[in-house]
Amino acid sequence: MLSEKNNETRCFLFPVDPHMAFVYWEYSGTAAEMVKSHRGGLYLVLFKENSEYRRYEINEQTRNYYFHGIEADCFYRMAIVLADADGNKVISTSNTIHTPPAKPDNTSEIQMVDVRELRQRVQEIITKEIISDKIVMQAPYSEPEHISEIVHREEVPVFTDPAQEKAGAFNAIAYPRLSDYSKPEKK
Amino acid sequence: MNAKGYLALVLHAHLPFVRHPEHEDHLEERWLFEAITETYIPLLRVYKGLMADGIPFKVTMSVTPSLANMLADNLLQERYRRHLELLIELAEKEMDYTSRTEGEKHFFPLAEMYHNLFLETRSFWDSYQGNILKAFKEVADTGQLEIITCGATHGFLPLYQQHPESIRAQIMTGVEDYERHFGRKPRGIWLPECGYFPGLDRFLAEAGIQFFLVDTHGINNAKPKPARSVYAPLVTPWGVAAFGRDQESSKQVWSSEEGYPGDSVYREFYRDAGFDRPMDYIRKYIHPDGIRLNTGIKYYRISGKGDLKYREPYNRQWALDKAAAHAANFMFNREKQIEWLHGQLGQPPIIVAPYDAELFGHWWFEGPDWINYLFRKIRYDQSVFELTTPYDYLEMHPMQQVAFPAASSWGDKGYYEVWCNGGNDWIYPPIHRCSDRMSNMAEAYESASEKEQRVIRQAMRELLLAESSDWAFIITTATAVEYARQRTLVHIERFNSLYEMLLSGNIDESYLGDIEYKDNIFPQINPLHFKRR
Repeated sequence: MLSEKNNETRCFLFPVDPHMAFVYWEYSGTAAEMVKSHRGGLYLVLFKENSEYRRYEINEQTRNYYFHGIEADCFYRMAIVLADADGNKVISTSNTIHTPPAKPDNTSEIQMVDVRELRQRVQEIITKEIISDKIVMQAPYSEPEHISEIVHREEVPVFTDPAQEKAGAFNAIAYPRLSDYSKPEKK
Repeated sequence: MNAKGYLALVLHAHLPFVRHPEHEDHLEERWLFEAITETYIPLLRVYKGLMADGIPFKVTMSVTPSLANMLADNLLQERYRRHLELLIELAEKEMDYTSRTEGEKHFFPLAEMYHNLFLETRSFWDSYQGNILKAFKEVADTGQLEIITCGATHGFLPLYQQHPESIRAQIMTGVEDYERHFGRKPRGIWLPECGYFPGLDRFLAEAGIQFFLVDTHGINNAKPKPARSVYAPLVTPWGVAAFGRDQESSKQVWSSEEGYPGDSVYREFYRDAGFDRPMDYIRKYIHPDGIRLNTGIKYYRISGKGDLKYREPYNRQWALDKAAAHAANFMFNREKQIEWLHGQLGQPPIIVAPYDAELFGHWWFEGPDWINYLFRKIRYDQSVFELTTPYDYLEMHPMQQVAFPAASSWGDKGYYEVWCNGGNDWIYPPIHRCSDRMSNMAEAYESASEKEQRVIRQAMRELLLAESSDWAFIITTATAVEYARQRTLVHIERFNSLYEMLLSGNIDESYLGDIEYKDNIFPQINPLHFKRR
């Protein structure tokens, strides 16, 4: 009853924070053979907004990597590439990711909506058609059609509260969630 | 009252699914037992006390699907009752011991307090026939408690962006399981670890969810910039409202430096009779292998830093007085904050204060008393703000700004590193592979035989259990690491065994029955949520 594409090369890229991404990959048998027998270099190539951004040489045993020091609020994609004098051969390409923004947005055009009206409009759209997950995941900032008809622009002064600006640096108590039986001493 | 603003207290009640029928006494099941005794029943008693006194209140609580399944489980209910009987017996023994032992006599009133507390807990437990979900529902039905759902097993959704079927299954299973327990659809969701990424809102809209919560920077770094910071929700283009955590009120309770729970008169969590009493005396009440454990009977207050030996005796009245003072201080600060914000914003702000529920009672023994005092004071001692829930706020203020909240979590550093780092990233390749396999099975589900369908349903349970964010979290925080590692591996292994059975056509019914019994979460699980779209 099942068929499985077990033997494929796959490569998944994830944002970890505004300046770090994680990638892991698996080779198919053919790709693994190609990587092993290749006489040139094996590289991870990171693309930012479709342009090559960084290139790292790796060995054939490597299966994951953390990209540090990348830019916040940008789109990235990665490729595994075999390179020699004849040029580049792409073994696999990853999905595209968007790194989280690390600071407030510059744009402040305020659009307001009656949430009840928008909810109703969205439910009509969702009931009418099934939208491919791939389309949604590739375009995280997409909007359902026709919401512009119910959204209106408003002149609202933007309020910034310095007390809330220290994003992501909250110093919480490191409670170990009911799982710290073997360590009676306080951390 | 013409409120200038609102306070929404949100408590996240969650434990991973820990149920081990294969062992008579399993260490990690005590996570649930302690939380029932120290957090869930005390909070319910606070709510019921307010109701009995006719004091209106509003509070939001997630009861995660994994927790709800444990609370509704007969085996765990029986085991909790047995655990509680032992606690009562230990408290009696403590009363006897402290009353006749020189140097311990001043602890007798505390031993008696614990004894009474456990007796009251038993009485409460029995009045709901061992199923306190009924009590949560009873309070929710009054409209004063808004119970929200969560991802089915608290899977950290941003790390499944390339496996949207896992995201849909986590959300839809959470929503359907909520309906099974509470008899209506959830209006809100606590995203596991407040983990958000742009695009997730579409899945929430599909599930009929109306609001969720994010950390402060999820709102402040939204596109476009929010006009009212975290003091008003943002509505995503898919019609779901995002409420952001207020740093000031969070810090007053959570902060390791300034937070109330660290006050020197409050009870010291880490000094427990389970570690203080001689082994012969305490053996029956700790782990059968002689591993010393917290019993919940604690006689000391925080009093200072350094060696636990030098803590001073706990004084219950001092602690209650301090809880009342802290409640007054919290209320006063919200009054000032809301008055100022109202002037700045020109409309009533909402202050969203989310916390782990288990902070209240388990870690901070006086936490439920603090909530009790706070709600009463808000009712009688001020007229600036009202308690609300995110849902009620949206009903009162439906016109809100449209924006895309930013990717974020409430974990350390604010993003995804707690759940994806060099220590725990090994869990994702096999789990993602299982997710792909699960989608293959889901697509074959409707044409499968009854026996094959059982296999597919159980495989989905195993995958969801492997996805729980708790395992990656525990590995990072280096607490019960081996248990978390094993849980991840065991569920992946069970999933793959079931998948291989389906592939080969040789279904081992005895194996299937065994793991259906062990991992009996989500009896009405629907594998079709894993179909690809």
